[in-house]
Amino acid sequence: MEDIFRIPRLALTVSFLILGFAALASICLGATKIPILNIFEFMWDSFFTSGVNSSLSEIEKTIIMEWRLPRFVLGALVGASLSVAGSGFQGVFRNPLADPFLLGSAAGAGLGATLVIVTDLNVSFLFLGSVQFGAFLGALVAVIAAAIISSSSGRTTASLLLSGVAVAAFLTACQTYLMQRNFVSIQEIYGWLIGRLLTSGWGEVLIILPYFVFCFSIIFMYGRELDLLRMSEDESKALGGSPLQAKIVVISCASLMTAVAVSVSGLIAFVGLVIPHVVRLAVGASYRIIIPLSAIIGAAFLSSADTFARSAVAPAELPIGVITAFIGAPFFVLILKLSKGTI
Amino acid sequence: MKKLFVELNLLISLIFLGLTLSFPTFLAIAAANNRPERIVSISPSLTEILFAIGAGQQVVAVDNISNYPPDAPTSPLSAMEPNMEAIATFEPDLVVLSYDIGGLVKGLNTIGINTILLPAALNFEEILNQIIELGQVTGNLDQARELVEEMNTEMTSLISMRKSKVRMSVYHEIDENYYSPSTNSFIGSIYRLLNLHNIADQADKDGVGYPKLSPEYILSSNPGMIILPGKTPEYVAKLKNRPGWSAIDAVKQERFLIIDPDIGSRWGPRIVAFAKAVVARSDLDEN
Amino acid sequence: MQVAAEKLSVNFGKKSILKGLSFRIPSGSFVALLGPNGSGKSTLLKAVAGFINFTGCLYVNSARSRGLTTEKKLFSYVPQNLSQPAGMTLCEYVMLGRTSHSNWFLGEREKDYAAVANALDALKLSSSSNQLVTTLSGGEMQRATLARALAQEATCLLLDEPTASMDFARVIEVINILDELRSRYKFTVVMATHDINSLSRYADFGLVLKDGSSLYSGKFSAIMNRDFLENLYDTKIECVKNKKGYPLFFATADNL
Repeated sequence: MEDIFRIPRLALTVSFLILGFAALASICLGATKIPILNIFEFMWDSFFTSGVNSSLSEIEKTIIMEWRLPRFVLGALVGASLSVAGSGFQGVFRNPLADPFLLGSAAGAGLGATLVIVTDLNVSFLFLGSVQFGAFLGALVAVIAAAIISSSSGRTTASLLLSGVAVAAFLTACQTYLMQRNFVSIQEIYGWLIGRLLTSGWGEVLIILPYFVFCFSIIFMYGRELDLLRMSEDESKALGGSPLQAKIVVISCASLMTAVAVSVSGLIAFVGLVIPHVVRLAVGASYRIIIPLSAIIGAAFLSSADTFARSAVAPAELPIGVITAFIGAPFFVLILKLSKGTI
Repeated sequence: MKKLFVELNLLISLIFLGLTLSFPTFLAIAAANNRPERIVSISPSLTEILFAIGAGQQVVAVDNISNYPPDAPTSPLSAMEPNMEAIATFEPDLVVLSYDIGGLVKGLNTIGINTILLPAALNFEEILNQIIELGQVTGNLDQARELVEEMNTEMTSLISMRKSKVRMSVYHEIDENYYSPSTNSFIGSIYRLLNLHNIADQADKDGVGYPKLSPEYILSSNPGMIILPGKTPEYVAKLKNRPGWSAIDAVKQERFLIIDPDIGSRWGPRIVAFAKAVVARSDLDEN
Repeated sequence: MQVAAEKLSVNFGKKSILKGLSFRIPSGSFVALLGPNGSGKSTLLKAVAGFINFTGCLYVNSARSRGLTTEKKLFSYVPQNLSQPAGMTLCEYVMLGRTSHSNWFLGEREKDYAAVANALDALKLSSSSNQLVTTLSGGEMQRATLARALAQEATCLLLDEPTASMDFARVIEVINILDELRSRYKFTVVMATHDINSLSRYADFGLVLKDGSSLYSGKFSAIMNRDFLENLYDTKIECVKNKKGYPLFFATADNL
């Protein structure tokens, strides 16, 4: 019998190819026209030989190495984080429509981060910086609130979704109020609400990377527990799972991931919902496969969306949240339609 | 050559502007002989104009953001979400506003309060138009004409000062989202008048006025001056540290202009001060 | 696996569901857990499984226990409503039984696949191993849960009315398989049920609850009489014997 939980080779290869193309596109496209061959030559030189006899100007080199490359990596990490968090939430809530955005955890993270910034609190905790810790607490509180409200009204998909939307709306309102009171410019609020990738250099990448690696590893390891949770909780216990522990760990890690992603990107909608579904439709429903593939496809999706945002109307830019929602919202409707009766 | 012609045209029209004063613009509801004595302004820009044309005595209340001139009678009235009832409690005989939000004008007119709606100006000429219009409506036409003439003269001299200079490129940074005013916004139109190349123009193909620029485009277009409304020295330090930005001329020569964000976002008489600051900064090392 | 209880009670808030049950189930029994609706059968199964808290003592193989899960005992629990997760294949479903055998980091190995293959084979499900569980029939689904229990190497099976929604033929088929597996693998079966007649050939131990108290525990044959059942279900019951001499019971409407 073949190994049923190994990620299918074909799917893995295709996913990495897509991510590779996304990387190439994001390095080659942008507001500045730089000949692609020269870029290749430069990349080759800087990675494999120490020679710097490139035909690119200093500015062009900086654009590639300090703007396009980190922005690709940041987009990939944010996309992977949101997708993995989304699959985690879907597993824990046994609900295909759970996602960081719809559950209110993204909004909670935003509010937490803003509160810390506005009040200038110092609440750093263990390895977490103040802003990340605030965002993490906010995300956690939001998810738990949504879960409690929904369980008091019947634990159905609809009730979870509605309570998530209510929590998100409430928290976003608090957030907008706080930002307005503190004279943050309208553009900043708007940019935050719609989601954007802000980078200059590798700073943001370095913030998000350790959290991503940590949380991804944990959630990946709990993939088997999430598979058990697809049974009833009692069955999962009888089979040797620890559903309560799994729920706590996965919700915490997914919240942390969301929190850190949101603290650099604002509210990017639908990635966490759409990507796990695409993976599920394409390769199967085991979380041990969904989680790693969601990470790769999520990374490719968001970084491609960003490349599009940067180059479609160059030298102007589109906010990336507009693109993800533009693709995500119809997809969301499609899922609702396809799963008629089952959720 | 065509551009030069357009600008020359603009210049000439500006000079004649103050003299001819024949604009068939918005129709004032208030009769000219019926001088309003209880004016409420819920537009910070229009408040500045009212006080500059000597109508300050007639103003009984201004909105919560109108902070200039300092002796303007600030009230809790919201400029963003104006409330008709709150406005009515001041028993105004004229309400001056820039945004007709939620049918405000119609509502005020129904309860017998005159209004004048002057939306955000898109260029210098429109600012002057609005000044004259407010002069007419409030019965301060002479002072309004004086003000317009004075602004016109100053602007004309600034324009002619800049005309012979190198066409420096500028980048106006609102925040780290890289939204920036193009010539289709009134602040951007000032850069145009001053013979400055605003890098946001190229990104505003749809004419929205505030395009979001790609950061690498800012880098590669190498602006000679960066305008930073209301930014702190820490913000500037951070800006200089953005990768590659040390290669930008403006950063190399430290040619930043930190201006009062109110001056840079209101279409009032102080726009001349803004223009002056821009010219002063851009002339720094140019000879 | 031998299971015993002494004064086992379960309370939900102020409401007491199980009131001081005492019983001793010999290893390898086929236990029929009987009682009218709401008598506490499901609760007892959950308490033994360790899903809910109880007071009193539970003994598993003579050792004091807080329920089967807490000691990581190998047992299988089959709820009334079987979960049929969307997108899960039968093979994956049965493989879940290997959770406590396989390595957290390395995942499943040869022997786990062998165990799953054997289990599927034992229940004649090999040919549908790649089918989605959502496409299986009720009978196949019951066999799938048994295959999972086999793969798990469970020594005890707790079944909550497994035959409630099955047709005649399926009921006998499933109980028959269950009994066969029990004698082959020597596990203890505890089955909450109302279906006395189908069980009469197989069950050897009866555990009878009424209103949360234990009415009887002991040999199953002893409860197969009219008086006992009339008292248990508070209704008139008719008894006929089939050709082989097994008694069959029917509720009659005479008392209405």
